[in-house]
Amino acid sequence: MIATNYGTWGEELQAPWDACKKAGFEITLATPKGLKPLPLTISVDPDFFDPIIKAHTNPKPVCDRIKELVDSDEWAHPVKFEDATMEGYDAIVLTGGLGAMIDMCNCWELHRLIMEAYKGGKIVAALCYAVSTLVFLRDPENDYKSIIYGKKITAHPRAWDFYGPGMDASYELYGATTVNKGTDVHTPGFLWPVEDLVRDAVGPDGACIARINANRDDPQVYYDHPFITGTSVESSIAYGDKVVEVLNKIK
Amino acid sequence: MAKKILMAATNFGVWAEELQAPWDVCRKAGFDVTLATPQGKKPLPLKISVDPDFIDPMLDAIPGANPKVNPKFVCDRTKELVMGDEWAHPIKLSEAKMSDYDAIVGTGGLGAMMDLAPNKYFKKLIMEAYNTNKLIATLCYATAALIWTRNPYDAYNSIIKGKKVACHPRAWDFEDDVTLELWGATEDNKGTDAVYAGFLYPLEDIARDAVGPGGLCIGDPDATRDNPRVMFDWPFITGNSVESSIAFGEKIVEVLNAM
Repeated sequence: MIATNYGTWGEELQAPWDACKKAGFEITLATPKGLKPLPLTISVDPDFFDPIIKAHTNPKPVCDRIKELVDSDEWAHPVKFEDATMEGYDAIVLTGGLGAMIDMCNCWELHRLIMEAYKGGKIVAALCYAVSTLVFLRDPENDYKSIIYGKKITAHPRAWDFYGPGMDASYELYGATTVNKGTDVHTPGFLWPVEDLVRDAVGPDGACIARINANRDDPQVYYDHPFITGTSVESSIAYGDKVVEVLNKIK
Repeated sequence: MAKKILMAATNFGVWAEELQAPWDVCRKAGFDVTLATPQGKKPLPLKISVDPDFIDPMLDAIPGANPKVNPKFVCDRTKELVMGDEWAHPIKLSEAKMSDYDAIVGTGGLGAMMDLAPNKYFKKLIMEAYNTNKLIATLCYATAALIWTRNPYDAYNSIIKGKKVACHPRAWDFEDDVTLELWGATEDNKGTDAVYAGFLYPLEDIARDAVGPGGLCIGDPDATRDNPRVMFDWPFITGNSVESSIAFGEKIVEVLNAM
């Protein structure tokens, strides 16, 4: 299970983590620097009000559970991407958050792992903006088209992207320490429009599923082997459940 | 009347020559150039881009390529510009109005990947330029802004769909961690401590996707200072990378003077 060191969206790691643990799976956590993945402060704040979708996105029990995980030992010893290999794993699961745009999506070491999984016929799952990683990973044996070319893939909808005036993004972390403090960068909202890039990358025979009416009661994940993709935070639980369902079927 | 250019640069680390060359070329041509940055602060170059001894790790691995990408005269001239007053008073991108200009120019650098190419105001200006038939020129990774400027009246396709563009080649993308230390940094203009996992996105690949089957994306790894790569496909001028910076500036001058 893959997470950023520059700010996860809490639930986008916590939900698949808890779902897979509960299913009895053996999970190894991996991050770019081998440091504990910390959530963005706004993602563990129950009062955070998403200015775009105009809703509270973080239920209090979710925030509490994320803080419990951060404060405990469970996420404290991830491996570094560069020390990881796909050997011995059945799936690679990418989790989301703004930080993923900076240290995950075009990371060579992560691309190496996904390519190993892809070529080895293993499950490759990505949630929210981490789906960009699949857009950016190119297959030299297929004219450098994206590995999702021709596939059905979910994407964080354009309409939800932080973009307008006052939507600059900063990356403050909950639980930051001097050695694990993320970055001071401010970006002009999201770094790229993932829906548009997914549409380009899947090509005319693929499909980009970017439902703006996805919600906790009606989440959006899609399985098009070997890819499982999920829309955004509201679909985090469904995303974890889909990973469990697919892996249990494969066994 | 002198042609008016809005020239945009990053606050997180320009590649020196990719701003210096088009700046000097356009000034020499007598154009009225307004500098704009995301924060309205002086655009500072990455330290490695004003170091004549810097060896580009990707070019170093390509037989026959010249990995010393920063000629000393470029480094010296850039430092002169940074220490002088010319770049000291840029406007904020959010305050620029495209109706004041004949062309918009996006300059490159690692920092541009994070605060310029994704910048909503920059993209808005590009869209205005596009809709009013003005020249739009981007160099190196600034071209990502064209990929990400989507036309709601064309199914959210990129504005470069069907166009010919020059693009930083895949083979030159850094794969190792990249930091953004600035030359001339001050307490209130110090860039960011963010470390990229290589480049932030594969420009050539997403540009190819964006131009689509009727377009053409040329990521030319054979481009050199003697054989630079700049494409002009109205309203776009696009340049490969640092080796094509002078040619990029000259093409802007040529096209604007021909109008």
